[in-house]
Amino acid sequence: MKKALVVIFFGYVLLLIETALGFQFQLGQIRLDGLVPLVAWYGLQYPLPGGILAVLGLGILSEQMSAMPVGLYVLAYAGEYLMIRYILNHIVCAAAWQQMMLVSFLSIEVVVVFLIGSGAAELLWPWGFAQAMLNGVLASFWFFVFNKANSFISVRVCGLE
Amino acid sequence: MTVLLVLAVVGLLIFVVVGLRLGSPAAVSPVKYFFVDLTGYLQKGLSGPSIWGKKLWRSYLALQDVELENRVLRQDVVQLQKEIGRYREALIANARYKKLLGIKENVGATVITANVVGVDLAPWLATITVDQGRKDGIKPGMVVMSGAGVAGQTMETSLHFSKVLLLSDYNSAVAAVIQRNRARGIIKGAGEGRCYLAYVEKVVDVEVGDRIITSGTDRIFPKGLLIGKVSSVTEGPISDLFQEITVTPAVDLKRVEEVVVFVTNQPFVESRH
Repeated sequence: MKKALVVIFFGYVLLLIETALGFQFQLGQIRLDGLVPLVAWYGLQYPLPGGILAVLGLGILSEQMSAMPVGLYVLAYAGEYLMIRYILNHIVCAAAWQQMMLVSFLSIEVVVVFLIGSGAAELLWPWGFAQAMLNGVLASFWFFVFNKANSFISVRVCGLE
Repeated sequence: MTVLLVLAVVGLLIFVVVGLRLGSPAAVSPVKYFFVDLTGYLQKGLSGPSIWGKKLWRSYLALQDVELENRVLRQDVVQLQKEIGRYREALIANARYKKLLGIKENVGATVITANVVGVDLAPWLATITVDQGRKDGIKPGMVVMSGAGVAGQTMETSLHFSKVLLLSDYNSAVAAVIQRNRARGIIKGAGEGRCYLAYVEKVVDVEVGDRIITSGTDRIFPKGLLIGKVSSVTEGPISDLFQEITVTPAVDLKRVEEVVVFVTNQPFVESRH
C-alpha cells in the first residue's frame, strides 16, 4: 500500500511539472516525459496483484490532466505494466542498456495506444517513435531519480532502513 | 502468476470498455472537479516563476532596440489613426443599416480575462487550463479569444479553472468564411499551432493573405471574429474535390498566456442574421 502511494505521489509531481512547465520541454510533438519510465520502474520492482492498482490510479490521475478519451491512459499504463511483468518472467533486465531498450519498446506500446486512441495516428512516424526513443534514452536518468527519491522517502519519511 | 496476468488483463479490458462507453459517471464529477481545482492552484504556483521571468525579460532586458521601435510605432500610430477614422465611419453606417433592417445586436456577452496555468499532458493535444471557472460564469462551449483573434472554446469547467480546446487541436472544428468572397469552409486543427480550411471547392478563388472569419453557423462562435489568414493554397490531388488551404491563426496558439472568455447565457445564433 505504501509503495503504491509513493508511486502515485511521484506520478502526481511529474504530472504537475509536465502540465505546468511542459511546453518549455517540448520540441515539435515530443516532450520530456517521466510517467512512462515511472511505470516501467515500478513494474520492474513491484509484482502483481498489488502493483496493478497503483498503475490504474496513475492512469486515472493522468486522465484528469488531459483531453484524451476516457480509459486510454489506464489502458496504456496498465498494458505497459503487464508487459513488463510478462517479460520479466522470461528475461533478466539488470543492465542499464537493457532497461533503456525495455523502456523504448514499452513506450512504443504506450504511444501507439495514445495516438491511435486520440485519432492522431499519422503522428506515429516520426513523432511517436521519437518520443519512444527519448523515453528509452532518458530511462537511466529517471530510474536514478526514482531510486533516490524512493530511498529518501523510505528512510527519512517512513523511517525504514 | 500467469493466471494473475490473465485475470488482470481481462479486468483491465472490462474497466476500459465500460469507461469508454459510459465516460465519467456523474457521481464522480465533484471529486474530479475538486481534483482539477487543487491541481490548478499547484499548476498556477509552478508556472508563476516562469511567467514572471518572461515578463521581466520583456519589460527590462529586451529594451535594447526601443528607440528604433518607438520611431516605427509612431509612424504606425499615424497610420492607425487614419484607419480608425475610416472604421468609425463604417461602424456608424453599419449601425444605421442594422437599424433600418430591424436587426438588433444580441451578442451581449460579458468578457472575462483568464491566465493560462497549464497545458495538456499529451504534447500533440492543444488544450490549455485557465484560471477562471464556473464561479465566474464560465460553462463548456464558450468563445475564447486572445489578442487579435479566436483562440478556441471552453470544453470543461471546474469551480475555479476551465479547460480550453484551442483551434489547433485535431478535434477542433469551427465554421468559417473567407471574408473577401464569402466562401464557406470549416477551420480544423492541424497540431503545432496550425490550422487548415477544409471543404472549400476547387472553383472558389482563394488567395494567400485572405482573411478567415467565423461564419456563426456553428452556434458557438458569433459571426465575424477573426480566425487568421490564408498562408498557402494548393489544388491538392486531382481526385479530391476540395482545395488544401493552410491558415495561420491570428493568435500564436503555441505561446498563448492570457485569454478572454465571452460569458453568455445562450448560444450565439448568428446564422439568422
